[in-house]
Amino acid sequence: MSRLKFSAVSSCVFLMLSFVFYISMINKTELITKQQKVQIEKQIALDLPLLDLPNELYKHAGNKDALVGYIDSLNSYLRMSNLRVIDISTGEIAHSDLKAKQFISSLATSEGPVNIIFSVDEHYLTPSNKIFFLFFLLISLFVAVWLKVVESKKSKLSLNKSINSVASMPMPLAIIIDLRNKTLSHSYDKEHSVQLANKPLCFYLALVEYCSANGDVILNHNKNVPDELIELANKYFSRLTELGHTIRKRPNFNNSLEKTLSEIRASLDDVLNEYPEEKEIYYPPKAYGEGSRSRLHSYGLINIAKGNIEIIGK
Amino acid sequence: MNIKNTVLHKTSIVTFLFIVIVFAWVCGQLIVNDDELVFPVLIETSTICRTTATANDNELIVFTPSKNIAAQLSQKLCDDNVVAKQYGAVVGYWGYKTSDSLEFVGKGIADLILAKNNIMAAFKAESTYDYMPVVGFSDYTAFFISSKEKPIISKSYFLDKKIGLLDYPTSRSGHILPKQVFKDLDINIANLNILYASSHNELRELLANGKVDIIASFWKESDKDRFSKNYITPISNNITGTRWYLKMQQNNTDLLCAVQEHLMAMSKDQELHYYQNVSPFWQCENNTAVFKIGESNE
Repeated sequence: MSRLKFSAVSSCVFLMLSFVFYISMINKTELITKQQKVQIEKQIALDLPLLDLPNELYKHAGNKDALVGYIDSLNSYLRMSNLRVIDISTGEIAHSDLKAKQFISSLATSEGPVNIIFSVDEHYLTPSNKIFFLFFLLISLFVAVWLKVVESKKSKLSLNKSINSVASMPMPLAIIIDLRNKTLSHSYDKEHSVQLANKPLCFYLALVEYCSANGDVILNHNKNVPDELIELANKYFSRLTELGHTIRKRPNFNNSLEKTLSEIRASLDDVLNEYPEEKEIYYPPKAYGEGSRSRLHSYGLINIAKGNIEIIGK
Repeated sequence: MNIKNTVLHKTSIVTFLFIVIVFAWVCGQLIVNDDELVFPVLIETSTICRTTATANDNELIVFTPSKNIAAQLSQKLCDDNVVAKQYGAVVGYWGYKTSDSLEFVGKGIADLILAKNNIMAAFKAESTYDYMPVVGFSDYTAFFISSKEKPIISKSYFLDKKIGLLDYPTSRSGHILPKQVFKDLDINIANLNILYASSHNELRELLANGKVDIIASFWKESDKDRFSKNYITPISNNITGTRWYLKMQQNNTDLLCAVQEHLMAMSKDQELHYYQNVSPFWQCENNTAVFKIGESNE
């Protein structure tokens, strides 16, 4: 994770937390302020008969000093509150006289309105709140570090995966030959398998093994199958006998070679239906044009060394 | 290993963030101080103190328009031996409004009260409740005071002047007497430009600040610092000063003498020269109290 992303994540989380905290505080403060305003109004209403307010009808000037003293003592009980009482007056009052953060609340009395001027002092950045913001900063840094750890683990995992995939690239597909079921399938789709008769199965296995050992050998139809190949085929056949697939004596692999090969090709066609490009490796080459008994044609698996064949139950 | 895998997953970070956001909200709600406002009695109108006779339920009720005097006097009376023999507590009331003193005088609630003799006379309180004067402040003179010239008592002079008067109708020098002058001069008060103030001090402020041209008040020594003694015109002489009255339903001379002694002593501590000048109405000698004839005239 880059330095830029780290700071972006941490500042994002910090801003989000601070915002939620701030909104929550504003929300609660407004609620409390509303409640306290009502409580203050109640107290003033209770004291109203004793407050020496000016009275137009009685030509009463009012006792300004007593009123100021009263407001001071009232405010001394509002130290923990955001509200302060600025003035209490009678008669009409112009809202334009109000300073910033002041508001008027009016009590209706039989002798006309009594106006209470409040001031609100909303302070949110108190020392205790600063501790919370510091705490949120720590949490956001922690989350960023956490995310960084998670990301680095993820990238390590994906690196491992890519290494694996690089390793499996040259042999993306493996032909699986199961001697126990006499089936042919490939590693991508093990469910899709094709059964082979004993003779082609043994011959193909022998051919694969023979060609792996002798990559440049030329196998002509008009020549006899090499003894080495026959021996390998016999060996696989005896393995099949061991597995209990047959009790018959071993066939002559020199006879009807062409038929055996086409059976092998048919099975491979079926198995590698979706991967025709793989046939080049596993497919015994067909003769084109020159005739199947041409001297030039070889049914040897020239590229089998590149292939990947897994034999189960060997 | 399993826990480690769970922790090292983006989903758990999101869950953690969600929890932290809820936590931030709760913190915001909790950190706001939501103590309910509790107000005590903000405007007190009385003070009570107990004498040494704690079992005695009788209360000596004192009324004065001034909070300081009420508090001082009640405390002194509480400490007094004579009072302790007769009362369990002393309650000092001070008037917050003019109407309070009318209630106290008119209904004879207080045992000891500082009142003007015109109010006492209006309610016939001296005969109804046996109020007897104990000490009295000296008589004084009411003046029209101006800052720029000596006021002339004539109709044409007052008509274009701004006049400062007291707003409480029980005041003689600041309300009743000047209005009587206007009446004698045939001036319709509605045609005068009158500004009301709630105390003699406020009247002086109005005059000093040029808000009014003339005020009606008494003359005190400290006034010569702000105004000229040449620019005052007397309205009426010999206004009887305020007096302390004691309710004498019994011939309780011990209490009378004790109260008089305290009032005399207290007046010496007063700041204003006027309040220091008090005269007793009773001669307390050899456990007898004799009313001084000739000083009880109204």
